[in-house]
Amino acid sequence: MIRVLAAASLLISIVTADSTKSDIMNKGKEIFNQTCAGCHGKDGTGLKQGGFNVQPRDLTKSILSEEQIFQVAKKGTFHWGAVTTGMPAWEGVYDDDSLKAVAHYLYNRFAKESHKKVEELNYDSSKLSAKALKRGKKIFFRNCAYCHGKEGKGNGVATYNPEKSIFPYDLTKILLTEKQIFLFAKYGGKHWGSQKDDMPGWGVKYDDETLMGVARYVETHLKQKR
Amino acid sequence: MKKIVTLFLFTAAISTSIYAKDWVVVQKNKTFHPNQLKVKAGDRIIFKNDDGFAHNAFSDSEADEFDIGMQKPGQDVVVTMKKPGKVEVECAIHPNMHLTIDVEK
Repeated sequence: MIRVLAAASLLISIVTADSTKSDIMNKGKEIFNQTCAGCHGKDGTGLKQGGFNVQPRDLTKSILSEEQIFQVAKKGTFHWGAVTTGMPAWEGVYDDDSLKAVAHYLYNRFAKESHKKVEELNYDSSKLSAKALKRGKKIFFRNCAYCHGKEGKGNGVATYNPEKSIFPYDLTKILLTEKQIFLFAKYGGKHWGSQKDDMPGWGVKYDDETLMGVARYVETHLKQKR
Repeated sequence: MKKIVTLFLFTAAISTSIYAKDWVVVQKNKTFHPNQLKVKAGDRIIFKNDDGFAHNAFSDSEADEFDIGMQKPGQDVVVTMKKPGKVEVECAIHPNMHLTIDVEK
C-alpha cells in the first residue's frame, strides 16, 4: 500500500512539474509574441526590414544561457555594453517571473541548440603560456582597441564613421563568459546572431591560443565584475 | 672633398626622388585594390581609403615595418618602400584585408 502511494505521489509530482514547465513555456511564448516578436520576429530570426539603426539579433544563433537571456531582457542591451538602446530594459514592464518565462521560452524555442553546441566545445585557458597571454594583450591593443578602445569602453578611434556602421560593445560591461568572448573573437558577431558584420571573425588571422589570450585579457583586465 | 661628398649625396637624393614612382592602393569594400604589387625601393605607396569607415595599414615584415594608424574615410596616406624584400601589409581593423608588395632594388 505504501509503495502504491509513493508511486502515485511521484507520478503526481512529475505531472505537476511538467505542467508547470509547460505553463512557463506558454507564458513566455505569449509575452514573446506580444512584445519581442515585433522586432525579433515570431521565428526569432530578426526582421529584415524596419527603421532600426542596429537590426534586431537573430535569436536562433544566440549562444547565451537562459540566465543570460533573462538578464538581457531585464536590463536591456545598453546595460550590458551595447552602444545603442535598441533592445530596451523590460524590468519596469514585466516582473522577474515573467521575464524568466520569456527567457525560458526563447532559450528552448530558439537558442538551445546553438548554446548546446558551444557548451560542448572544450575551452581551457588555465594553461595558457605567459607568451600567449602577452600576445593576447598585444593583439587587443593592435586590433581590438581600434574599435573597442584601449580601455575596452567601445570608444576606439575607428568608431569615427560617417556611415554609422560600427557599434562596438563596451567590453567593461559585457555579460559574456570568457569562452563566449573567445567565440565572438574567433567567428565574429554575425556568426552568433548579429545582423551586422562590424565585429569580424579573427579566426581567419589568429590561432586559437592567441584568441584565448585576447579573451583572457578582456575577461581579467577589462570586464567589470557585477 | 666634403663639398664633393655633399654634392654627390644631394644628387643621389634628387635622382632617387625623380625616378621614384607612386602607386595607388585603394581600400574599398574591406579589400586592398590591387592586392599584389611589384615596386622598386624608394617608390611610394599611396593608401586611399574609399570606404565609409576607418581603415589601417601596417606591416611587421623585416623588409619594411610601418603602421599608418587610424585612416579616416577619404583620407590618403603615403608610405615609402625603403628596402628590397617582401612586404606583407594588413589592416588592423579588418582581418581579411591583405596586400603583398615585392620591393626590388
